Amino acid sequence: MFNLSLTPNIASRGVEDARFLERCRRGEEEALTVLIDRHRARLIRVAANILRDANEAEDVAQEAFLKAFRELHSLREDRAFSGYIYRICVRLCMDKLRQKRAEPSEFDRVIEHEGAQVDNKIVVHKLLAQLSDDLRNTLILREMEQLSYEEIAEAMNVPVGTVRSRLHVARERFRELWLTATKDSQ
Amino acid sequence: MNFSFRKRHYPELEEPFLDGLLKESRIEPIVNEEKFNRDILRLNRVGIVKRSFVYWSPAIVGASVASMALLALLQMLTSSSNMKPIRILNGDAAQRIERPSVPLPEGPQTPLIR
Repeated sequence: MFNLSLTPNIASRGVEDARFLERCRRGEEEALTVLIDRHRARLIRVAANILRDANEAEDVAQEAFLKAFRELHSLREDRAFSGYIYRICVRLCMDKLRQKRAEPSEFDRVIEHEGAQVDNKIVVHKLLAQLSDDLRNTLILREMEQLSYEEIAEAMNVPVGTVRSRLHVARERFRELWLTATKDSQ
Repeated sequence: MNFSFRKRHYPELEEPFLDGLLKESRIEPIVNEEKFNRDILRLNRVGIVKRSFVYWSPAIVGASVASMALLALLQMLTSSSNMKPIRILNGDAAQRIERPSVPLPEGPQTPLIR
């Protein structure tokens, strides 16, 4: 059912990343640009979906890139750069969420301004906000980002088995929340 | 997509429906790619300079303190070898002190015996 080995696509991406990292260590800015180009879109999207704030996502993605480049020496396996940078990004997002827990999110503000215009997107994000950080992030990385189990495990620094169990629980919880929300709205 | 789907309950369709819902709810941020890259490269360069300054600053401070101390020591050594008496006054005033114009009375040549 689940593919537990690294897919050729991920493996080849890892090899290419390793080649560019080698050039980065020699101080080549072109290689840095290539690495940014390769991971920018996905990283910003991950941050945007976890934070539910597109503007803040850009800042977090930038911070993740800078942190990754700063701590390149601590990367044991160059092929794992993709997971390494996702891990940094997810951690930064979680830190941000902890900081701004009391503040209203972008979607809360939308609801305040637009009154009864409730979109499914907003409902989904409101429901996701009710899940714990680990469950929500696992669900977002899998269902919204379509990351593989291995990639999620790398990004969240947990075993693949934990990803599977978290995903199962997250889906169940989300389903329950969705049913409750839609029942209330009827 | 609206909530009308949920009014009639189809448990077998629930899972794909929720997965699709999550996929559809994905935020797709619009980014100015060039600016994003430029900002990262600039911040990275600034970071490298900052880190190298932080790394080398104790050595620079230590070296400058040591060189100042060495200079001071050398100056002290050279000045002590040809040390001159300190003169507060100069010109005529100094001469007056060294050779008074008024002759002083000569004292007894032999020591006084009490």
